[in-house]
Amino acid sequence: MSSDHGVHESRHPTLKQYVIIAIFLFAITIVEFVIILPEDFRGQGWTIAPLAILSAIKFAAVIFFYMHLKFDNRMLTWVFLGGLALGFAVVLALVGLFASWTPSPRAFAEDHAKPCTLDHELGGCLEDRPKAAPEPVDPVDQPPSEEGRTEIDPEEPPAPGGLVEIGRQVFITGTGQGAATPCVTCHTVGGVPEAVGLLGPDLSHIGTEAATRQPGVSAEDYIAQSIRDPESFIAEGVDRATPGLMLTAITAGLADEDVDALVAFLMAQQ
Amino acid sequence: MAHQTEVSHHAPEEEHPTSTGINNRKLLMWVFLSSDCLFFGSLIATYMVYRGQSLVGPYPVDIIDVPITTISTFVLLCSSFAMVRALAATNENRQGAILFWLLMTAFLGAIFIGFQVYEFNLFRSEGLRIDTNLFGSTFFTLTGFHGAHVTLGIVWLLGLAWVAKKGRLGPKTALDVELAGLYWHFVDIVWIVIFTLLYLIGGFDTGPAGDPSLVPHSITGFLGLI
Amino acid sequence: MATLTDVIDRPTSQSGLWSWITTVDHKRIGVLYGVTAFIFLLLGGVEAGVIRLQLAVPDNTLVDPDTFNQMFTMHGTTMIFLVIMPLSASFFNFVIPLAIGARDVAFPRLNAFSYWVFLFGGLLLNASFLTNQAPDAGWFSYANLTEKPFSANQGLDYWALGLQVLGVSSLAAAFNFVVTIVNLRAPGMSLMRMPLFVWMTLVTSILLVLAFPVITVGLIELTFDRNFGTNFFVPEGGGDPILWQHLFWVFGHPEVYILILPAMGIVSEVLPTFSRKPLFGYPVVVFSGVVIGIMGWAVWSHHMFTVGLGPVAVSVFMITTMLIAVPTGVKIFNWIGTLWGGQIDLKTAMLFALGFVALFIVGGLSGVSHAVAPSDNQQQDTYYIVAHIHYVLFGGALFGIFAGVYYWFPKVTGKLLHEGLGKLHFWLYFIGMNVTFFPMHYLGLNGMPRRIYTYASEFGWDGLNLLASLGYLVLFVGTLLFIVNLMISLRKEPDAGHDPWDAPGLEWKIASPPPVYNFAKIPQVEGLDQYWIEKRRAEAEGHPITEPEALVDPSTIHMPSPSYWPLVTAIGVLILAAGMLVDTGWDYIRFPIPFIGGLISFIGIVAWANEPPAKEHAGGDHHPEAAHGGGHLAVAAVAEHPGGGATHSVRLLCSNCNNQLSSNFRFCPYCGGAVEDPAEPHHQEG
Repeated sequence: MSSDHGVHESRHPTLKQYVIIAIFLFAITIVEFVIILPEDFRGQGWTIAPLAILSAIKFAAVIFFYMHLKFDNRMLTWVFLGGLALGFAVVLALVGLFASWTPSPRAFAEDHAKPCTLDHELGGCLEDRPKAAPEPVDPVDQPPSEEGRTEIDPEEPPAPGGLVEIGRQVFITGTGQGAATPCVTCHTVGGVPEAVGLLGPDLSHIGTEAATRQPGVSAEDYIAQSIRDPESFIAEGVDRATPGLMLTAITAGLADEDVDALVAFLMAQQ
Repeated sequence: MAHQTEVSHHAPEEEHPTSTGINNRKLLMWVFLSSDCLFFGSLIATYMVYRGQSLVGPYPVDIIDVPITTISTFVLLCSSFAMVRALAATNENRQGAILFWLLMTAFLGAIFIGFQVYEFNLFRSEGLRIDTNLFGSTFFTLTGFHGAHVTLGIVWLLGLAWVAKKGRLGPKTALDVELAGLYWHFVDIVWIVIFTLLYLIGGFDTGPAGDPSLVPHSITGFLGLI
Repeated sequence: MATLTDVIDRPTSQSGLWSWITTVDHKRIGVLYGVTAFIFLLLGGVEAGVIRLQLAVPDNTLVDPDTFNQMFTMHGTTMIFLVIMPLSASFFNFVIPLAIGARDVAFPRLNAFSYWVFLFGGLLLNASFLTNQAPDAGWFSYANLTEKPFSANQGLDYWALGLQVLGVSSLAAAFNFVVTIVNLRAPGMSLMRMPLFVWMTLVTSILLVLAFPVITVGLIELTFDRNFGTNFFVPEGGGDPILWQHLFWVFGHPEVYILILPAMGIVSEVLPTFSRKPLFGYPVVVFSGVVIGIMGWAVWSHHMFTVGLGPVAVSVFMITTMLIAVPTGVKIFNWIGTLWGGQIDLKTAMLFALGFVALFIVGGLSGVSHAVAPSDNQQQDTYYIVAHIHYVLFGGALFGIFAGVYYWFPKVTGKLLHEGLGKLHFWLYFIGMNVTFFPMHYLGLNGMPRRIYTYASEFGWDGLNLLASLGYLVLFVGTLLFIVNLMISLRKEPDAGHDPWDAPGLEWKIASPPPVYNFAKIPQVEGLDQYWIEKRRAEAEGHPITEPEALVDPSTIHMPSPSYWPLVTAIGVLILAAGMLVDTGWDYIRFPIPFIGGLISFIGIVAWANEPPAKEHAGGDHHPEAAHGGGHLAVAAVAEHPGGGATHSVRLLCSNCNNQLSSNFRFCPYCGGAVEDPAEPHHQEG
């Protein structure tokens, strides 16, 4: 034996011990094999505990006898078990973090998910669209929007619910194209539960206000222009703490039909 | 402390008495093994996290053949026994036995690798490749890196056998054999863990829908191939 | 291979290029590390300059967005893996064997191997610029941005393989230093008598040993995803990009302590020296460092509060993160306690150490503010984070390292750095650093995202960004000034003497620059701050120490011979990794070149294992007493030198408040007074 071994290392297991350990290791492996031999036992949850314990015993037998940690300087045991314990902890932590029983927002979302067929034209889910289209606002009360409708009707057949309803959907969900931030993020409209944003001006009565804002500009043009280029007109009393907050890019993805629908919807807000 | 300093063919600067009484190279080997625990720990963690997450088959139950792998596990355990015999022979300076047991260890390791190559080819032919699904990715990566460790160990053992053949191994250089042994046994215990997790426990995992296409494997099939 | 090593003798050059290429001397390797890392520091600084110039004014198009992405990715990767870690390694190499009274590290050739692999890893990473495919996914390269569909060029392959190579270097070096510190301490140097820097190096090395395998696995999986079609981080295949984040940060958070602990160690050397009193509460500082090392493993997910881990995981990691601030805070109090009542000498090294403490407190406080998960939701991925990381890594790690540079430069070269220029350098750095990074707190809380290419003037970020960019110019001038200082100082005659600072460490006992064998006689250690003990005793006896340990004929001391094989093996590792970039598309061997690299490494290792000692030492002319770098068991040493073991058996009394102290306190933890040690002369000043 090498003489640079310290006093702790003067003993090695004898041949007899080595043979006994080898037989012991074989025996455990056979027991493990027998545990999973019956078809009914395979992959059962309860087999994990005995299999893990038996493996741990084998593991310990090899490191303490074959790798003679038992006979070696105690420090080496700590060096190895330290790394082993940390590796084990990392495995446990990662398995725990990814386990299905860890409450996660993703799992919550999956549990509460509704069926959704994406509407690629208007964004949102087709399932959320109102089936029948009850017109919420009396069309008689909104002559400007009738005019607008006559202008665009030839190109675009109105979807169920009319142009105002399309405008409402665009207002709430955006179009899913370009900058996807919907109007409701920043603007409040009375009677629209989603529209409670506080960053931009309140649009609850824009249909009446728009006509008086800019001399020589019709209400529709005023709204359309303000959608396309938000900085065109600045109404009095608007909070300008963050100028240019509504970027042109936000509305750049809107098709002309979308803008028309938005104008119709907003003109309906009297 | 009357340590006697060894002078071997190795760099003499590494053979001095130390603050703790542990040989430098031996401490280095144990620190390395400690580090390797984290390496295999991370690979095993990946396997465990993705267990049962494969989107397409083949799933473990379609592929894994526990009996064959039990045999290769036995072979690897045997090689560990051969390794301790090699170290004992070195300490007792029985030159013929040193060479015999070193070569025996390497030979048993090579048989294990043979089993693994066979297994990998079988899986490949049954449609499981590393890019087939998550099971394939994690299985081949974990067992592949273990196989690489075994292969490296075989090369090391053959190198030692070459040194032994020149008669340069003996009690004074027993540490050379001991270090190879520590590495070899470590590879063995990693396999103990892999065998339990991937074969005995995870080997019967089915796909998400409980894929019934169980392909039976048996020892006879393996023998028939030979 | 035997034939190979029989034909090729060990190299014997003592000077010139070959002597540096084949050196295994820890001091030379330390210098190589330092110079290489400093060049990478300049490179990373230039990359930072591009970033700051691009962001100086709104709507800037100085560089295109792709280049910008490459710049911030390479800036982060370079500064962390190629600057701060190797600069720390440079101090490990140069100082540790001297500080523990050893002749060299435990494995000198492995040490040389670490350096060459580090150099090649850095070159491989930066070679990506030559093919215009620099990595561009940020320094933590989140999946699945790093997957082939989103990063089609080879930039991320360069990144992954470069980091793998650097990992080999860091692991080899860490193994070496764990063994060196555990096993090669001079007789009498028990663990609790090790200088703080040695302690922090030990903790850092252990962290490296355990943390790097995790990122190795992550990088392997990333490489497999990119090259072999696996789905580890690809959601389409069922993989989860979040796993990459976990693997990265399981490594990444210990890595944060790998970066900062060496600087803490340096500062813990510099502050006592220039306060002329021992480190306040030495055992507590040691304990805090160890606790940080352990707890550093339980906080990694605080980098991931916003990915949706769920309330349980977030709460757990929030609490552990807040707890880890405690040992860090304890250290800060200890440093302040060290200064308290000391005779403070504001040399440049001391200024940098004080700057470290101040700026690290700022960085630590902003760190605690994103330990709070709800507040982190606001700060995640904003410039607030950028401000935090630069306060801890620039204000913390780099200031600590510069403190070390000014402190140990006279030991390395025998020449003092110019104090006036040094102080100007410090103030430029201190002001520049704050001007650059403090505004980023405000920018971040105003919503400026990190890694943003440019911004519109309407966001109101113009002024602070311009200010930060001006701060960069101040740092730039400061760095130039340091280079000028280096050049001026290196040209003058040696003027430092062996102990310019009246320092406590063993390294100051020997000549500057140290002789190749370090200590002619391995020192006997009697306590903490050994050289102070010796100097104060000598003063008390009336013949103060003014000369270093006398030089002896180097040929009488057996030292490890130089070797070619670490370099050959490292070249093999480089070819192995770089070869992975060449995809032949062949059926069975898609990547043939790595096999060539593997073969070269194999030849290198076999030759390494079999090479004989150099000719002049081949006769077995061996002096166990004089030559070994280690020593006897500490306990045995105490038995041989009864005086040295006094602190083990005798209860100590504080000379100031008369509290009884347990054994290892060199300094009264109750009142800060000096400790009377009845077995040895009074050696404290303050």
